[in-house]
Amino acid sequence: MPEHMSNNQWEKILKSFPPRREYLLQAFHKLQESEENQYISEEMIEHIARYFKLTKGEVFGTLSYYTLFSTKPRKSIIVQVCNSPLCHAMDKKKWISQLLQLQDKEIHIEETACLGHCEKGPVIAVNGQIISLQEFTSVQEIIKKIKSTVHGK
Amino acid sequence: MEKVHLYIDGQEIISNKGDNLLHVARKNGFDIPGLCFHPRLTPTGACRLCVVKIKGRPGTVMSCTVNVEDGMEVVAFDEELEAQRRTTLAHILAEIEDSYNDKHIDELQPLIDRYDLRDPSKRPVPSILDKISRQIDTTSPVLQYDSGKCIKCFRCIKACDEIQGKSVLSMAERGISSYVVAGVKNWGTSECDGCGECIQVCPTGAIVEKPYLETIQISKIKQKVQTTCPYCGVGCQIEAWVQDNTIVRIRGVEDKLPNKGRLCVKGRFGYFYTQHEERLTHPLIRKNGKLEKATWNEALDYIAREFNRIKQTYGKKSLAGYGSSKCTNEDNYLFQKFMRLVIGNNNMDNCARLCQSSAVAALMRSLGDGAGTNSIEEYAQTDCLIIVGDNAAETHPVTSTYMKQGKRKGKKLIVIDPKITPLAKYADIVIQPKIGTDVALVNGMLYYIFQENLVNYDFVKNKVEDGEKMLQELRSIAMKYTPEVVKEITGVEPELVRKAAIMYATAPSAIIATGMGISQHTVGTNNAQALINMMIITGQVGKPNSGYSPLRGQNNVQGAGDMGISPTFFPGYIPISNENHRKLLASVWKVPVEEIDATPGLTMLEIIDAAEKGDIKGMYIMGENPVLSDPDQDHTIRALKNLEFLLVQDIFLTETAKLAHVVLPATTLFEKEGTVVSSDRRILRIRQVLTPPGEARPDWKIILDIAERMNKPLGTYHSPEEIFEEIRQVTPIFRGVSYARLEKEELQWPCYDENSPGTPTLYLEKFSTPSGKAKIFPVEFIPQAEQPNEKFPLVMNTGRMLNQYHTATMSRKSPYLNQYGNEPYLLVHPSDAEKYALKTGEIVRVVSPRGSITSKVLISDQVRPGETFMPWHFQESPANKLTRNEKDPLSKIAPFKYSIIRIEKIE
Amino acid sequence: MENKFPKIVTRRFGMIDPLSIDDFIQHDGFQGFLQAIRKSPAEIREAIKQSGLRGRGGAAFPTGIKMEATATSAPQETKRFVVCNADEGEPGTFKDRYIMEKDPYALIEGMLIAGYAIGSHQGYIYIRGEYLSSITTIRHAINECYKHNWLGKNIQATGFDFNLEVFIGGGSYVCGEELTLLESLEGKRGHPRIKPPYPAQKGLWQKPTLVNNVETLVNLPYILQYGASKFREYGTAESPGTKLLSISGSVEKPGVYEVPFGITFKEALDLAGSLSKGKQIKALLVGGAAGNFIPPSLLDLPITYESLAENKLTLGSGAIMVFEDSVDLHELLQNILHFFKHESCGKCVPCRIGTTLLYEKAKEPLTQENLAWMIEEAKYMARTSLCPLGQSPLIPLQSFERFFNL
Repeated sequence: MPEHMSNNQWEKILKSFPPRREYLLQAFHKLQESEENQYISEEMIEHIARYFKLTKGEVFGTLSYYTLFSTKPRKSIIVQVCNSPLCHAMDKKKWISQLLQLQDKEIHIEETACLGHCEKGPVIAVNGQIISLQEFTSVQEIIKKIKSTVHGK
Repeated sequence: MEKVHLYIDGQEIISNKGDNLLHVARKNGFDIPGLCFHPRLTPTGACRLCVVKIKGRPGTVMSCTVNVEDGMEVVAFDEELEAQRRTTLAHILAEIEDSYNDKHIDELQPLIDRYDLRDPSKRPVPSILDKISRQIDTTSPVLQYDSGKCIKCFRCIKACDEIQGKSVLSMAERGISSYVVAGVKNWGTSECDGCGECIQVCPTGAIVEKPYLETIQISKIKQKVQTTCPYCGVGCQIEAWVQDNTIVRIRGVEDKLPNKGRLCVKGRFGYFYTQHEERLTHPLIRKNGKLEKATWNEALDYIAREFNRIKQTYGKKSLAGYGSSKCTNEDNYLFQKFMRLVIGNNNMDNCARLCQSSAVAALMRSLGDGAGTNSIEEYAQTDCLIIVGDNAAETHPVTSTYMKQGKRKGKKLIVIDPKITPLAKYADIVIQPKIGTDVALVNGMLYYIFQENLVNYDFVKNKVEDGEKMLQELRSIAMKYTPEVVKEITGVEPELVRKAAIMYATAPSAIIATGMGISQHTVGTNNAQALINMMIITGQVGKPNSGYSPLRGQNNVQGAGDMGISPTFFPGYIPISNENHRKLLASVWKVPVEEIDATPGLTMLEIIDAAEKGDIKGMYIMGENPVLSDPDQDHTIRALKNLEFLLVQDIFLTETAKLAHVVLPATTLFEKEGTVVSSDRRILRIRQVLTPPGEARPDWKIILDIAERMNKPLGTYHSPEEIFEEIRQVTPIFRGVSYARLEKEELQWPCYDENSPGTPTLYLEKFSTPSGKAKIFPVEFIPQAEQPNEKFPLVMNTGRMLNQYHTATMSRKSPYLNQYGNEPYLLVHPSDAEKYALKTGEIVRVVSPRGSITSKVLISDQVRPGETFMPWHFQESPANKLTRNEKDPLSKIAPFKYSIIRIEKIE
Repeated sequence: MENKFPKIVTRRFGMIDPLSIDDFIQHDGFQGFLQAIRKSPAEIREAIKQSGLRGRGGAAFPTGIKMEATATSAPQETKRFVVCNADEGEPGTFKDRYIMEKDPYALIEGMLIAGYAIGSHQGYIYIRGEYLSSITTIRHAINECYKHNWLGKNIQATGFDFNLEVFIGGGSYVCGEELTLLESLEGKRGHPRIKPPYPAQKGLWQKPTLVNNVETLVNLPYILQYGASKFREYGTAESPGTKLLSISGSVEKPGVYEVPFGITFKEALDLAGSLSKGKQIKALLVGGAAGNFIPPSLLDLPITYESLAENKLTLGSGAIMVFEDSVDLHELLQNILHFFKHESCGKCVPCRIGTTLLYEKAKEPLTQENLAWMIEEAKYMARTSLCPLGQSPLIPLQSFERFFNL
């Protein structure tokens, strides 16, 4: 799996959208998830700008507003840790603070606002997939579950 | 405009319905604070300072978001509102570093004092500056951004977007981490072209100009002079600030046409030339092959001696002169008076010859006047703008902002150009024909206009000479330009031609704007004529927001022509054959009428031809650099070297001046008083900002001195204003204009008397031809005389860049302008690059039948395959070494836009 | 306690394969739309008005009136849009997610009815980017509808055209506010617009637009199928119909519960099972982060817009977060204020700076003085902010002060 996608792949993804501004966020999603390190590079931004007939500033400004997009390389596994009032209150074993300090070469950890799965709280999202932390007994167990969720597919 | 009555704090105000409440309040003396509002931008509602109370609406309302209605009752000031404003202001101060360093105009500082928040201990909220990361961007060549001073008012972003149409800026991230970016957080690599609109609207020191940032002290600047920008033909009104006898800043003048505060990078950052160390400060005389310093006395003696000698030896017709499009009307008026009375002939011309002469010739014979029909604001109002062979975004930047604003309001834009220019991004239709095929393209549009029955028969019947007959003639020619024929010649798809024709013909109003792409061809007059014919049969002229505009390249090229720097016209475009006018001139100039030569003189390039042949022995060149600007450089140099006497009057030792026998130091437009005329016939004031360096003298004075030394004094003028008074007497279209009126009014010629308000749009009642009607001149496509062949397989187009200007004498002296591009390049299409194995950045030799130069290659799909493009600014690789000296039969312009070349790799 | 309450919105939950259009059709699917298409748009709007249905996202604006305004504004406009606000970002809220995951076709049917009612032929569903499963389900349902001619041209030979597209959000709570949502849908940063004009007059690309919450839209088929009067049999006169409550926290069975307006908080909590064993309720947070703290003493309050308003409280999105004794309310307050700071779009001064000021203050010890300071600040923000986000911190802060002693 190549580290960075080639320009042709970017063009292919871009061309799957009409070149109108309302498709900008939709293009961001698709481009980011096809990139190994789950981010949108400056080079990509130039292609996006050209395709949508926008300036680089307009693209970057829109991109940097939204929390789901990153302009810096992350890792192949993105874990969002919900730190909303409910999950925080339900986090009796303090998984949230532990996870937020985690250093792992495969996993990028981010704090996030309410993920809308409060009935299972506390929760994390692993590349978008929701996992409840209610039944775990150790951080190692959680990490194992994270990796198997992504690789086990 | 429906008027409404409203009440602010009990006071009755009358305003137009729908006006902005904050703006109305302020205009009527209610100084409601507000930092994110700007009269030239749409309201934002971000700063929350402009809060008011309106009867009938709950709570408080932001006045900048309200449009006035009849009967509105507003409370602008009360204790609660003032307390709320103070709290809001304290919030603004909490996230910035609010010290003032006297380097910019600040709208926040007065508010801090007004609301008693100068002392941090008095502020109701603590500073959170240490909780935010501060973003500073100094990568732009001309400005810097500091988020620590930024109040996130969005004015810069909106100005770049709404006024300049560029949308380069955006807010990045969100919440308390917000800051302004250009590009991907790097102003220097963004699309920013340095126009500085953002700087001008910024209310704090967040965005400031870089020049003189260390030394400038705003409070010490006593001298702020309003004058006209010395660069292009838009005629932007600028305000020059002087500190310690140095221009340290230039700003656009808000509320004044033609630019209403807007500028481009040249106007804002290109003033360094006027105080550059290389300025000519003393006369120079060639002694023993070298130019050496001399006194004015020596120089004037020498000049008078030589001019007289040549006149006596070879006759009056052996001398010629070039007037200057960068000099004032007063300078040029005296120049033509000098040529006509002291030299005694009409061998004079100005660089309009190399520029819009084709369009001017066609307009003159079809409509009667050789000038643009419309005012700058009409570009934003016209329903359909068709711009042909004109890179307005880079050559008339401020005019292009009006064009883009029109586009945003839903008007239509058609861009026709063999090279894709920045304006194409905004166009409804983009047509990229092969170079030199414009007549075929336009006749192809006429084909569809006839086919789809879009002719304006009423107009043709009533407003065109021999309307019905000429229409049939035109029709029979147009019908030969079938879609297949047009596609074969131009390479353009028939559907595009048809769409463009229909869009233009059916628009309620339409303007054709053209540039060098139309004019600078051996068929330039025909090119313009074809468009004019189309304009006439569709009736898109003689009504508001409609007509034909040849955008003028230089600050006073319009004026140079107006002032009669012409082999065939007196000032005011009156033919030299006009007996009555010669009599008038003779009486004003106090000479016998026979002394005023009535035989046409030579045009600009004919003068050079004659110099090479030996028919012209001496030349007087004022503010012009033909070695770089005339075609076929080798031929130009041979010609000038063949002269027995060459006098050059300029501000720098240009490539042309280096060949002179005498060089005289003149003044720049910052160093004299006078007037100039912009692209839309607007007469503008030039006001003196600086004293000339060394012994440099204003051009008008030099001319008087030479005349005096030749014992043929031209008159006594104590000031340019006195010269202008004489201009008024002999130039009917200027008769109603005066310096006094120009202090208070906007005046566009014709302005026949003191009560006339001038003429923004031409031909609203009738045309200026003898019959008062327009004239059609059908034209046919003529292929280029020079065609690509095996030896020279490519075609070279020439043109300009945004940040450099013509022969770059002025622009290259600005270290700021140079950072946007300071070296020659040749645009080559990717398929040609592959064919000739070229890489971007590679230095190659570019060869034409006239000569060869070297240049860098830039691979670009802006040009068509088989076509290339090179800017002509750079003396180390002068594009005009490659161009040819053929002429359009009517306008006598050379085909700068079309030369055959080949590219040779350098090992 | 078993839920014997009427099921309008949740009637198919667990009864069908959510992805199967056949299952949906067999369970009354599209019946509301087929009823609607027989009437005129004006009659539909009248029916909705009669039903008294109010927006279920949080603003509780009468849906019928909104529809009327959108249908009749700018008569010369040929394009009108329906936008479904599925940007469920209010903390503690997950009811719309349940609807999209368990009964996606019902949402499509609701949009068809709304489109027909206001003269629109183009709809958009704006789903928050974090709801991967909802996005997949809804996209699948839309594809199926196109395949079976329930979307597209001449739907089921009724002559009605309607196109529907899903747009995904990028992670921003404030994009759940209708005018900000439209900006985001247009591909821009999520900054609220100045209002007026409202979406009914100038919405998506400045055209009249109806923006409705997911739950609001899935009420429409029932009303059209069974009539406004049937709908009004449930709830109260001012708050007719049912409400989906997202109940989470220290209860035995957290989840989504559909209840008629008028039952008490206690009855609602009983549905979710008693408190997890051995715990006492310290407080409910009702409505989300922009919600009210409700103490145990108010558990007998009926859940209706009017009775909550009488007590100066709001229902918001219908999220009920249950916090037990051991929860540190100071920490909770910090967490809530951190949320607002993170989600502020940054456009207007009071919110951009105020949310940071509040968060910084909340990190200090929770004294009477500090709480009073925060409430003053929040009041200032509520008076001057550009959009509801800046107006929100006051709600939890004020309710906190009302009901809890320091």
